[in-house]
Amino acid sequence: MRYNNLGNTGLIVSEICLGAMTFGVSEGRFTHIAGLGQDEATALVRQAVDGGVNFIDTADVYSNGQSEIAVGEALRTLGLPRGEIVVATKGYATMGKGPNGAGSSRKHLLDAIDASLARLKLDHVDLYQVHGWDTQTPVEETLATLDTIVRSGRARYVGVSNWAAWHVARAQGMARAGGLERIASIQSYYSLAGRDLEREIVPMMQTEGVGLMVWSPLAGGILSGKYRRSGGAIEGDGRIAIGGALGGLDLDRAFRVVDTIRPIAERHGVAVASVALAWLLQRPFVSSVIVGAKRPDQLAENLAASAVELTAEEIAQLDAASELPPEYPGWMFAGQWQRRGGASPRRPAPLPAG
Amino acid sequence: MRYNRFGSTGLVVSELCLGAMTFGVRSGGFIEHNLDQADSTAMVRQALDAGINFIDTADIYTGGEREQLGRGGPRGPGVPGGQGVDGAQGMGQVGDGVNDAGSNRYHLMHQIDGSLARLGLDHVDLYQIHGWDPHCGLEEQLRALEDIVRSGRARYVGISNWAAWQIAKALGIEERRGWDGLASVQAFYAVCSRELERELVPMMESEGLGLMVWSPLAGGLLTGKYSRGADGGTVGEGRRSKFAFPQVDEEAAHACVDAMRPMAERRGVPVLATALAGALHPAGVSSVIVGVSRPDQLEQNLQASGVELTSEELTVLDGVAPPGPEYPGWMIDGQVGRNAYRITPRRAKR
Repeated sequence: MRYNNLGNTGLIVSEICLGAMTFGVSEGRFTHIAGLGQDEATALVRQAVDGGVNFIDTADVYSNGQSEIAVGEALRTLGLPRGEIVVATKGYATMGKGPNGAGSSRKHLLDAIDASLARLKLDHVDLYQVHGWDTQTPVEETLATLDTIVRSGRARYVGVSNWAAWHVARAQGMARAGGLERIASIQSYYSLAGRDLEREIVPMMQTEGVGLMVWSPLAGGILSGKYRRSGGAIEGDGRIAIGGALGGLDLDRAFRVVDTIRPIAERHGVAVASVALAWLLQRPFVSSVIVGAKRPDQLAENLAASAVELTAEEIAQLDAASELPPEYPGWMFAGQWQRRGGASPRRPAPLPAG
Repeated sequence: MRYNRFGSTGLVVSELCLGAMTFGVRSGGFIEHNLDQADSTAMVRQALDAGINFIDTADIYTGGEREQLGRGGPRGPGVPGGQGVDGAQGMGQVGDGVNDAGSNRYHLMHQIDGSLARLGLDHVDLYQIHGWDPHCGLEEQLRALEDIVRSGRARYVGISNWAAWQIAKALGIEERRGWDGLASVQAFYAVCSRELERELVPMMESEGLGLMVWSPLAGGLLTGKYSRGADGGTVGEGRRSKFAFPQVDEEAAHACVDAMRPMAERRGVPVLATALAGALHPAGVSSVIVGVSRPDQLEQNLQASGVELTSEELTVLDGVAPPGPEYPGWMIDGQVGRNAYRITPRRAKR
């Protein structure tokens, strides 16, 4: 296992993070994704920690709080020292009745983190993340609340998830101007089947010093290689075959990527999923890739990615198969920056200034 | 002609802006054009007579010659002072030296003085950085823009061809330093090319920036003079057939033209007038820039100002070439949808 700084912070996390979305049993949106009881959850945490993972990510909304309860219980059962494990959770989603039962207001976020800490039976989490962009709360209020959360000792670092690049850039400027706690990380969807993040979020992160936690690195499972296309239908044993495909998934691209991965996986003697994850791990801007598993063999495939070293040629093949179609202003940058000329240092220029 | 506030400034601009990229005489290169001073002056006269008060040019167009041609424009026909709004842009490569491009203080100051000299004006109303400079710190660029306003060289400043996060970051720096904020974004948008709706449009709406749309006809593809060829490509006579810029999904453009033909016929206007009207609709559009090389083309473009698309027509047009779902857009839509019940005001909230 390798370890990275979480963005620009001094916090060091394993490059693979155990996602706890599969933990817990509940009715509703998480029924098909989750379903693991406490013993199974504890065993997965044990297996991950034995594999070198020091980073666990959960959220209040996962199985309506059951996931947080399972994570806390697993940490206690396994007797893991608090100083050796990095616990992350999130708030924002609807957890209560009424108009203040969701969102990023001061009222809801403070209610939400206190409820999360109670379920985890911890006095603090290491990373607290706002789970989405709230159109009904001024971002200044959210930032001030995140600052309160750190100052009051409830969390060590704060981050966001599912925000657009301009949301983060705006918030980071306000945090700096107001002397508030800065956003340490962004948790976003990114995979070989969907590199949408590279348009705006990746360049933003690099100049803003924000670390990336990747969710759904296997694109909801389609990059596990366990699905095949048969006519217009998708066949395989998993949630995608029952209509649970990730939003915005371009199936042609996803299956083209899987076809490109198969021979590479064979050469390395690893699973398709391991190669899909290894490609992400070799991206320089990734702090940690979150893996979610329902079975020990799936987790083993995921952990195996850490030992896979893809060659430059293999990465180039995967890059080509997964390339994003050009969009404005991206294609404009390419032309203008080339025409711009200017400095020609002997060493590569630093990252685009900002 | 309708007029809009320019973003959240107090400046008022015509919803159509005359783009001067076609002014000057040049064969080959960036764009071929053949408008001498008399032609250019006549074009400006025609635009002003129709109610246009907004002209956009740039140092880089025709190696600066175009700015000189614009010089005879607003003043030549005897326009009262203060009536016209002139925009100019800097950053492009205007010479062979290492500092002859970019957004550093050295170059921007040099360029705006050069632009003012070519224009024969003591100030422009809007000065825009023409692109993102990967080789210059943002604070330096913004300080230069602030100094350009304070020194009287420009009334407002804006940028062109930046990403949403770059602008959001700039706004934070300006706020912290107490500088004049960026007023506008000049960006590519057309009914067949709506990438802007992913990040830039929501950002501009939230932050009160005005949008100036460039290439609203997608390099001419939406004029109606091009059609699908037998091989699926594009056929037709025009600049696009020699210089395929900007990058457009040509099939989407043809589909939009198909959808707009009946809308145009019902009104007895050219297809391009409905395409311009369509580009005027997104939230935050202050002005749509039209570039033409003949008086009859300008006449056709000006007809857009009289076109009011119905909500049914806008719905049809919306459905033809929407930007495909990408992250985080589809996630934000889902999450905001799930939380939509939280506020229930009687009046729609913007």
